[in-house]
Amino acid sequence: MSSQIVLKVNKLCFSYPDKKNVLTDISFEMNGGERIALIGPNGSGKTTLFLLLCGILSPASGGIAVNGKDIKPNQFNTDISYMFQSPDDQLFTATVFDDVAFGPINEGLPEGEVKDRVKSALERVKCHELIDKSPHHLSGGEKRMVALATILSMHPEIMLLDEPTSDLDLLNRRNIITLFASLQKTMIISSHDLEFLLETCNRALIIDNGKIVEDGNIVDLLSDEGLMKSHHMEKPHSLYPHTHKRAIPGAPRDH
Amino acid sequence: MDLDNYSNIKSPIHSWDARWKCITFFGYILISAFVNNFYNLIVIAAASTLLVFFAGLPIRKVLKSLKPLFILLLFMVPVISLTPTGDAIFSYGVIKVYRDGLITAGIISVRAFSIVLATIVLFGSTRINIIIKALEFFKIPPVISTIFLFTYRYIFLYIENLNKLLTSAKLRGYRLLRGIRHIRNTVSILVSLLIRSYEQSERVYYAMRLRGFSGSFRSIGSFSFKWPDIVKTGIFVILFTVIIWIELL
Repeated sequence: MSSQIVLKVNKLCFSYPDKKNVLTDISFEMNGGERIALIGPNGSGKTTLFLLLCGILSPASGGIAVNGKDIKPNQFNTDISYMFQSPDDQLFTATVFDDVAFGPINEGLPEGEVKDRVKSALERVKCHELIDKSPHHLSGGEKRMVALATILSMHPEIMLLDEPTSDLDLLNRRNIITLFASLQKTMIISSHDLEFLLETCNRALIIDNGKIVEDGNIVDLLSDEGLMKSHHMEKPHSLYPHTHKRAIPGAPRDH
Repeated sequence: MDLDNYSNIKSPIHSWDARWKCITFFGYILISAFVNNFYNLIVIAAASTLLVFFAGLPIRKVLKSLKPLFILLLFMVPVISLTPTGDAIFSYGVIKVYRDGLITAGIISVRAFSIVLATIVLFGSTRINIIIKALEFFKIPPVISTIFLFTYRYIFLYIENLNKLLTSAKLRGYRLLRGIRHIRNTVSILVSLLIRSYEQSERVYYAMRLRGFSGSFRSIGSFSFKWPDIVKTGIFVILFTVIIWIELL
């Protein structure tokens, strides 16, 4: 992991026209190669934070800088990529090739390089055989993997991933964990799959009611049962002293 | 609906340069829409059927795609045949079948059959992105090609969403077209689908902007025009000339 700060978020505030103070005073820094788990209950502001970080929404106040450069809303920025929660939002063209090539083409890369990037991104997610298929012919898991390829093909420095394991079966979930471990990328991952986050991330930010309430080592934070309960979450089973279900409060007993 | 699954098979129709294939098929469809002569009707029906065979599309899939047309014709043909125009050729009680109505129904049926069959062959032998690229080559405005692309991409998703909503409603006692309460429920389902589509369109636009969309779809690759394309287009040009000549006689 590089000790250089690649992302700096400073006193970020945001409100929607019909909902005030969706995010309040959000500040954190991120080093190159770091993996942050963004966790919090539904409606806590995780997706809104992602939309601000990638420049889709404009903050009411505060700033975001990637590698020292301010993120300007509505500007195409190849340093930071966001994978939407639903792959159907991410895959909007007629074929898998066109979808994965969409970003590199708009970057103005030459045809040969675009093809190389598409091939390499699809190989990384083990979906190369789907290259000519239409997105509507793909299964939920395939769509998710191809959606991931659409951002990998852009070679972003920072990847923002919103619920990357939803729709995935256990094998594809494991493939994603292995893939993330092999990528030298800075990532912020939002998910309710805390076991997945434990395997993927080294740091966690807990966000609740639009504020970052905790920032620290992921194992330390997720092990704190009181902290998790106070923010409407549950301590992951793997963090109990032993994983036999009798040790887990509320788990059904064997008969 | 699944015809694009067959766009990768090898056939003389599949290998036809998309630009010339599109323009030839559009011309063919246009001419088929105005054919009146009996012999020409046989020619266009035969030509469309031959196109299916040359394209190597599975007959069962083609027939399945023709099903909506057959259902439409099943309602339309009796209505036109029973509409009083000219001499009645058959009567049973108050029901009379009219000669002119029967001829008109026949002409419309053959035209519709030929046009739909040609459209099936075009979309079954060319990937949609290639058709869009060909349309852009002919300077079709990007807005139209983008609408075309999104319709193709999302129509399946919305049909799936609608079916999910209907199933969910049916499991809770909803029945289509039964009473005022159910009409209100039908409207709620449609409004719900509309709102979901609107919200999704916003997210799709965000996803496009994040990957550099600036108003038009750019693509790579180029078309290649070979001599067999000239032969295929030429055959259709001769066919068009003969059809127009017979019509004008």
